[in-house]
Amino acid sequence: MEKMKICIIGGGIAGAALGYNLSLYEEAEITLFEKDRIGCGTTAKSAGTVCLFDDSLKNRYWDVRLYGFETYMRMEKEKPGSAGFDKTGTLVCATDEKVERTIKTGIALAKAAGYTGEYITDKNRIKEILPMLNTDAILGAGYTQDDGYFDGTMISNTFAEKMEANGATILRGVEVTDIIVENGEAKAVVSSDGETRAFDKIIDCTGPWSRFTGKLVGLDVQIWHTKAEAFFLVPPEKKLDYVFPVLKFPAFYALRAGDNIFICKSHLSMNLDDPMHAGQWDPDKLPQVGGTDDYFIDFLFDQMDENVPGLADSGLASSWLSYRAEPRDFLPLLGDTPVTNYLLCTGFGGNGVIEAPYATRDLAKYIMRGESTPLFEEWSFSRLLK
Amino acid sequence: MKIAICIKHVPTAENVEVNEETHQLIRDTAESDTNPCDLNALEFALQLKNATDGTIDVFSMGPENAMASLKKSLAIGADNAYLLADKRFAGSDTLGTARVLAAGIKTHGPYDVIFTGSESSDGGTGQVGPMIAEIFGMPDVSETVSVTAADGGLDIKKRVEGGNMLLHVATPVVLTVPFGCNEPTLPTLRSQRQANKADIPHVDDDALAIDDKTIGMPGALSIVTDVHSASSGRQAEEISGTFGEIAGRIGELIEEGRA
Repeated sequence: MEKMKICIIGGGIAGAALGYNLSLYEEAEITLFEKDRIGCGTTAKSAGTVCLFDDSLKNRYWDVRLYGFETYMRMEKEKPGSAGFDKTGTLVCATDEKVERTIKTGIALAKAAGYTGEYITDKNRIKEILPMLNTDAILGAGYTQDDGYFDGTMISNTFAEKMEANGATILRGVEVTDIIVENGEAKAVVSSDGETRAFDKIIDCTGPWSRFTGKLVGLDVQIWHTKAEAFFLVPPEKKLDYVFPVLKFPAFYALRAGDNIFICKSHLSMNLDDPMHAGQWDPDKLPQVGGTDDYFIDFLFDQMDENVPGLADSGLASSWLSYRAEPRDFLPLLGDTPVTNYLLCTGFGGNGVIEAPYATRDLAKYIMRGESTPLFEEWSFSRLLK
Repeated sequence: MKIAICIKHVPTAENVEVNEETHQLIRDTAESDTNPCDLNALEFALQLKNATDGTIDVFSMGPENAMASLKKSLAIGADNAYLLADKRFAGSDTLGTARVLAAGIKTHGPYDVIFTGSESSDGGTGQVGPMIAEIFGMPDVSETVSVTAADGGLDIKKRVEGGNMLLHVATPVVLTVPFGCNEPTLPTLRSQRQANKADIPHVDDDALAIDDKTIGMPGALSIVTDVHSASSGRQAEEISGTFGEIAGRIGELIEEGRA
């Protein structure tokens, strides 16, 4: 049987999930290049909040969300801890009627899939779930106790382990330095180990690096970087005597991280035309910790002080900066490009952990069987050329 | 009680670059944060401030990015901060650094207590605090692991080999504080936001009126002539691979007695 030689560039959540899904096809011969370690880039800085309902992904893509959630729950069931699941539940706060409608629809979808979910307007009940919340500023809140957050790095490594068990090759610490294109067709990759390897398909899964990777084939990958600035807070009481749920507001979210609380801006609150929010930067220059701008404390503070005053007065233990990769419409880039046999699986913009299982399952089927789905139109590279 | 504290903004990244000609750390672009034991010193300063209704002034000699440590100090509870920044300070050895800091402190003094961390995490000489004491003709207590105001002076616990020594000292005094002897207060988002808006004055050589020949490269009595990586005889090994491979390698290392 002649095998299709497939190159995956990037070992984050997208590359690892794609590698796993492709490895389920016997006729796929997969090589994944990761210049550092699996799941160590943007994925490592993801909050991993694959919640049953929130505003990070439109309800239109409910099946994408549910498939991601259930993939990780199966992973956890198969090997506890392999997806890093922390079952804290999620509390999504309705700040206006539009958000309220979105939450209610999300709850209905979750319940239809067999999960718990309720929209609560009794402010005392909401405060029982999260005592430090100021309920005066919200209409109500959607709550489920069935979800929580996952660990994108652990998931990526679990996918990597599975794909290697299925015969795929992962080249760790090997960077793709060039891509050979002949007559508009991607043919081979040159890598930092000095090798040139020929492939039938090359898939860019490099997230925030995609603009640079795309240049190797002469492609202008239209992504912006938005800053994901996260702060780790120590609550005034040091140890909370309740389970801090994943907390979602339109502009920010929070979750527990051990005894601390992690807070971050939501990606949909970013303005791509504001140079403080978005630009094209070099992800290789990101520090491991720190790097946040004073601007973003201002950006978050007033809303946090109004809605969750306990967070505003929590100790600031540490912070870090990451870049999300966002096309202008905040939807990913999936599938073919004008360069034959060079495909994209990138631009998940902070939703990679939610979307990767579904997107890469369909992409693997498209690569191996040629079967397309509506997702490939909505998330196509060509939409950006119109 | 009027308290001064000297803090240093130090590189935190492992891959700190060194200027090949001067053998000095390239500080202005490195990932950096407040020197860890300076935060322990600041914690004692805060305790004394609260106990005596005092004030804390923070001084740092360094490039512009040292502002981050000064703002952090204000967010934690210091009252005033001063950045001692001038090209003529660059290349100072420990004595030059002590002279600049002492001149800054003198401008806003006198102080009852001057704190420094025991040593910086980059240079690690542990000399600057005692040198400041020498310049001012003050006593100094190194390895201070506890301090309280008592009977017009300070009760101090000083770490010595095998235990602690209890001292009662008169002020003014210089105290140097080792890492880990207390739990530093953290800034909050609220206090950090307020501190970020603070107008921290730059103080240059002209304002301090120091003889240029005694500071910077011209005044340095000790010069770093070369920098080598330390070799302890032990070697770190990065283990990567699948969960199974990593577990297997750790098992081998344990069997070999290397872990």
